[in-house]
Amino acid sequence: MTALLVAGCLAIATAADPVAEAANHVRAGRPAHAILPLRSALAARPHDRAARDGLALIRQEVALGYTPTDAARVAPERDRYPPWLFAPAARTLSFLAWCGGWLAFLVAARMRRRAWWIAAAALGLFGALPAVNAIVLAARRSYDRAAPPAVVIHPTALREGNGPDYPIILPLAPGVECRRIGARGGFAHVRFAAGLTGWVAVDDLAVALTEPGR
Amino acid sequence: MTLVVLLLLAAPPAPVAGRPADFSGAIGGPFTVRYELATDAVLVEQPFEVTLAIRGDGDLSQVRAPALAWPTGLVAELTESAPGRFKYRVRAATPGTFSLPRWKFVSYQPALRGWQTTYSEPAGLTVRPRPPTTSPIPPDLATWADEALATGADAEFSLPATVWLIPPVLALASLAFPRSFIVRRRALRMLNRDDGEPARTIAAAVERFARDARLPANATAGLLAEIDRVRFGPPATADLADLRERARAFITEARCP
Repeated sequence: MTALLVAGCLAIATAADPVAEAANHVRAGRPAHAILPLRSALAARPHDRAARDGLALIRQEVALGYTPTDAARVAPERDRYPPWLFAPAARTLSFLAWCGGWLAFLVAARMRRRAWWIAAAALGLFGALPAVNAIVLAARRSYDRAAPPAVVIHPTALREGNGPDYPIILPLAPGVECRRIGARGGFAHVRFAAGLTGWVAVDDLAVALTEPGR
Repeated sequence: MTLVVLLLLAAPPAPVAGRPADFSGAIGGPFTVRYELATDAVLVEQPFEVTLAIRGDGDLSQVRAPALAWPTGLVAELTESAPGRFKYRVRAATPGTFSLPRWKFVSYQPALRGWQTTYSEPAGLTVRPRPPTTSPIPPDLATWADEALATGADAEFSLPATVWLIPPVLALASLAFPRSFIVRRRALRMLNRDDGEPARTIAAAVERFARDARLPANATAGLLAEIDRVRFGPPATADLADLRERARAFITEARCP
């Protein structure tokens, strides 16, 4: 029974490791190809230290190829929600707070003291952290479905229209991250985190696969 | 040239009776067929030319490009078709060693008034993987990649969602116990404590019970007055035991609001 309980409690991740896939791309000299696997790893486990470090290093290399002004225009998105809140330690703490919150609620219900009610509310709020995390992840997935993350994989140019004759807004180096918001005639309409939009040839872009039903 | 024209004019048409199903349309011969490969080793996705050549004197004007079963992994496109010569542009999708199939060629030999079947020699082709277009890797990125590959994926343990339901269920279930039960239990435990001053203990237990049970002040006034009398009056041990019993009865039977 104990073994069953332990086995039930331990969910071991056995899926293919996107960080290893990214590392293989890096070792093969294709760091731009490593970005989407790393982002996929972070979408599933935002606290993944190896994925965060790798992505930061690649982004650093990409930014080196631009002037500070242009680097700001094509800068990748930043997560505003602290990633450490997804860590197992935070989850464990929040579970303890959840238990403590209900205990405090029990005491408050018996003793009818304001301090216990406040303690119950505070602990309960921290205990609800996994629910907040789940909402944040669901919102991110929804955004990813609407505008899938994309990475430039070949040196190319951001153009004002969907054709090679349109004027160039900015040259794009491999590794620049954006989101695809549309596509027409072999060109993808992309948007950068800073708000810059334009068109890039689809052959020069790797777009994250998103599951429509997910 | 004149000889060829004469031969063509002189060549009788191939008979219909007994014509093989895979008759190519060639009349004359004898013919030989073979593959002509520009190279026998290519890279993946590197286009190369394969020519099917027919050698021999005769009429090849009716010969159409053969339907060859190209090995899986090779994609061929007919780019040039001339009498006795078919040129294909081929690309390999995957690396490996490929063997081009033997080409069966059936012709009619007017001199022998018979059908001639000849085969090409199979041709071998080696397709090597394309070397990746690499860029120099910064040392810290290379170190990260090595460490990531060496470490592998961390197994992550997480509690199932249902575990989170346990505390609220337990808390709400425990609320089913009446509050008076807890208050009485706590006061009785205090009453049974022996700290050397029994009268003070009894008074403290009754006061605690009255406070926790939110009893009105007059509910315990009589009992507390008696306890004070025993406590601060002349010593009388017999009264203490009786007092403890009265306090116990009070705690057990009093109605909590």
